[in-house]
Amino acid sequence: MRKYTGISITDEFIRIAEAEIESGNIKSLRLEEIPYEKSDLKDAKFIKKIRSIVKKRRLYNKAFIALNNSEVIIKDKIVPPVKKNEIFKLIEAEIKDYAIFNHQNVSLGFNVIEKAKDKIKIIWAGTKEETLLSTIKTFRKAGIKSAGIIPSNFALGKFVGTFYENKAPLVIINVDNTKTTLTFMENEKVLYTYIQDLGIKEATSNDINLRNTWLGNILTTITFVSRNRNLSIQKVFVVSQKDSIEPLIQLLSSRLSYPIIPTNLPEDISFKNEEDYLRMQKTGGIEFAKAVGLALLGEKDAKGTLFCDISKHVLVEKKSVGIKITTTIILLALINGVAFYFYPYINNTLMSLQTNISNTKNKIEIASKAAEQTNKLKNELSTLGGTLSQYETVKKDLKNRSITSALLAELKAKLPPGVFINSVSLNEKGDIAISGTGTNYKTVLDYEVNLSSAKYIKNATIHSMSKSSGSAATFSMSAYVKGANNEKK
Amino acid sequence: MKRNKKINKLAVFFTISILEIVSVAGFIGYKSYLIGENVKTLHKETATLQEKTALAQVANDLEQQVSEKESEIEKDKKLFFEDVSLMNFLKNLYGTASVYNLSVNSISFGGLKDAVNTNLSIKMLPVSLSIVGNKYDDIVNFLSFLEKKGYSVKPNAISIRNSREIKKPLSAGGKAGAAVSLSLTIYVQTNSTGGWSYQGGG
Repeated sequence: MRKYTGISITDEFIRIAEAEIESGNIKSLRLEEIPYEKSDLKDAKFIKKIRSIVKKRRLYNKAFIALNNSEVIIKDKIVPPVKKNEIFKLIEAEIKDYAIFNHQNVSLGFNVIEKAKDKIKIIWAGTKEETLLSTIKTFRKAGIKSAGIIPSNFALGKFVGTFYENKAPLVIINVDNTKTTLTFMENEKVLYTYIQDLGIKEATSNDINLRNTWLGNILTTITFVSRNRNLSIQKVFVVSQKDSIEPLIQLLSSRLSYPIIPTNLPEDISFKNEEDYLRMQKTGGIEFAKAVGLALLGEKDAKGTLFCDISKHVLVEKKSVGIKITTTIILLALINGVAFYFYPYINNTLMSLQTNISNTKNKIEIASKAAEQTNKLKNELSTLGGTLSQYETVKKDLKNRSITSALLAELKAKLPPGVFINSVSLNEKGDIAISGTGTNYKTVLDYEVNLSSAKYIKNATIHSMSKSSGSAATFSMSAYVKGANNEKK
Repeated sequence: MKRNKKINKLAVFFTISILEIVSVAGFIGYKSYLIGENVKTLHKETATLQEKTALAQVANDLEQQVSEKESEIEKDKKLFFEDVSLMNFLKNLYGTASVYNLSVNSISFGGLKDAVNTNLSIKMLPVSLSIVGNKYDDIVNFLSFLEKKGYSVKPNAISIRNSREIKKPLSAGGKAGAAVSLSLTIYVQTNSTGGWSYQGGG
C-alpha cells in the first residue's frame, strides 16, 4: 500500500487529496482545502501556510498537480505516423500562435487516442512554460515536489472511470466559479474537451437568460460532438467546485435527456480525519473529485491512457540543460583542479629539467675541452708512433752494420799457421777478395777449409796458388758475406 | 525575452567554460610537451656528456703514452748524429785514428740522400776515407770503433792492401804498411739538403 497525493488548483481553492491505494482501491483518504486568490501563489506568506499544513499533517510530499482550467488548453489533432519527438515539434509549431500563449514557450504533453497506419489521432494539452515553472517552484518552496502536471479533465476522467463508468461514451461537466468545462470520454480516453466562460455564477443566477445561455452552450456542444464525433453519449457526470450541486443537477436535468450523475466520493471510502468524513456527508466530496482523480493517476498501474503529463517535455529539456551545466561545472572543476594540483609538479619538473640541461651543457663544454685535448693527443700519438716506426725501419736497415770488423777479424782468426793475408777487399755487394801467402799449398788449402766453418763468410774459394822454388806460396781467394744480397752465388 | 536572456547567459557560460577548459588543457598540454622535449634533449646531452667524459678520461693515459713515445724517440734520436755531434766526430776523426796508429790521409763527402722509406730528417751522407796504417788489427779495431757509434756509421766497402814492398805480411802482426780505402755511410739528422753543411748555429 502506497500513498499518492493529488493537488487541484481552481478559481478559489487549492485542494489536496492524499490517498492510500492498493491495487486501484483507495484504502484511506485525507483531504485539505486551502482558500486562495491567484496572486497568492507568489506570496511568501501563503507558501509558508501551505508548507506548515504539509508539515503539520505530514502529507506525502510528492504530488500530481492539476492547474486551473483557464491556464490549460486541450485540443485533438491528427498527425502523420512519426516519432514522439516529431509529434511534439508538430504541436509546438501550431500552438505558439494560439492567443492564450501569446507566442510564449509552451510546455505540453499528449495522449494517443487512435493509431492507424497512415495517421495518429492524439489529444494534446499545453500550458505556458512560465506558469508551469512558477507553479512547480511555488509548491517546491511549500515542501511539495511535483510528480507531474496533469490537466484536470484527465483527473476527472480517472475519477469517473474508477468509481462510475469506464467504457460507455460520457461527458463530464466541471463547473467552476467562472468557467465550465466539458470532457468527452470513451473507454478511459479523453476524446474532446470544451470550455465556456460561464460558470456557477451564471448557472445559479436569478437571470433566466444567463442560465439558459449556460445550459444552451452545454446542450449545443454535446449535440455537436455527438453528431460530429459519432459519439452516442450515455451519461453526463457533473462536478462542481462549489458546495451547491443540486441547483445544477436540476437545471441540467430539465434540458438534457441523459442521466445526470453527481460525482460524489463513494460512501465506503474511509477517512483518516473525522472532519473529512463530515465534509463528505455535507457535499458528497464532489469538489475533491479532481484531487482524488490525480491521486489515483499517480499509481504506477493506473498510468494508462489518462496519464497526460504536460511538464515532462519541458522538465526533460531543463534537466538536459541542468546536466550540461553540471557536467560543465564538474569538468571545469576537474580540469582546473587537476591543473592546479599538478601545475607546481609540472613547473618544477620543467625547471629542474632545464637546469639539468644547462648544467649538462656546461659539463659538456668542460669535457669537450678535455676531449679536444684527447683528440689532439691521439693525433700526436699517432704521429709519434709513425715517427718511432720510421726510426725502427732505419734501425732495422742498420742492424748488420757491425759485420765488417767482425768479418775482418774472422778472416784473420781462421788463418792456419804460416798463412798470411796481404790484401783484402769487401765491396757493398758483399763480395770478398783476399790475397796472401802461405808456407805451402797445403796450408793455403787448410785456410779454405777453415773458412768453410766461418760465421760471417761463406763459399771461400781459392782461385789461384803459385809457388816458386824456395819461396812461399801466394794465393788469391774469393768469398761472400753471409746474408748479403749475393747469397745465391 | 526572459528565456532568450537566459539562453544567452547559458551560451556565454558554456563558451567561457569551454574556452577556459581548452586554455587550461592547452596550457598543461603545452607544458607537458615541453617536458617531453626537454627529457629528449637531456637524454641526448647526457649521451654526449658521457661520450666526452669517456674521451676526457683517456687523456691522462694518452699523455703518458705520448710522453713514453717522445722519450723513445729522443732515445732513438741520440743513436744518430746530428749536425753538432757529426761536426765533433769529424773534428776528432784524425785524433781518433791516431789512437789506433792510423793516419787519415783524405776524407771526401758525397751528396745527402734521404734515409730509406722514411720522411724523418735522418739523411745518409756517403763518406770515403783514405787511411794509412801498419797493422791489420789496428784497422779492424778502428773499424769496430766506428761501427759502435750508435746507428750513425755503416761501413759499406773496404779495401786493405800492402802499400809497401812486402817485408812482412799484413796480418802477421808487425809493421806491414797498409793502405786502406774505406767507404762509409754516415746517418745524420740534419736540415741540410744536397750536400751536408753545418746547421748547428754555433
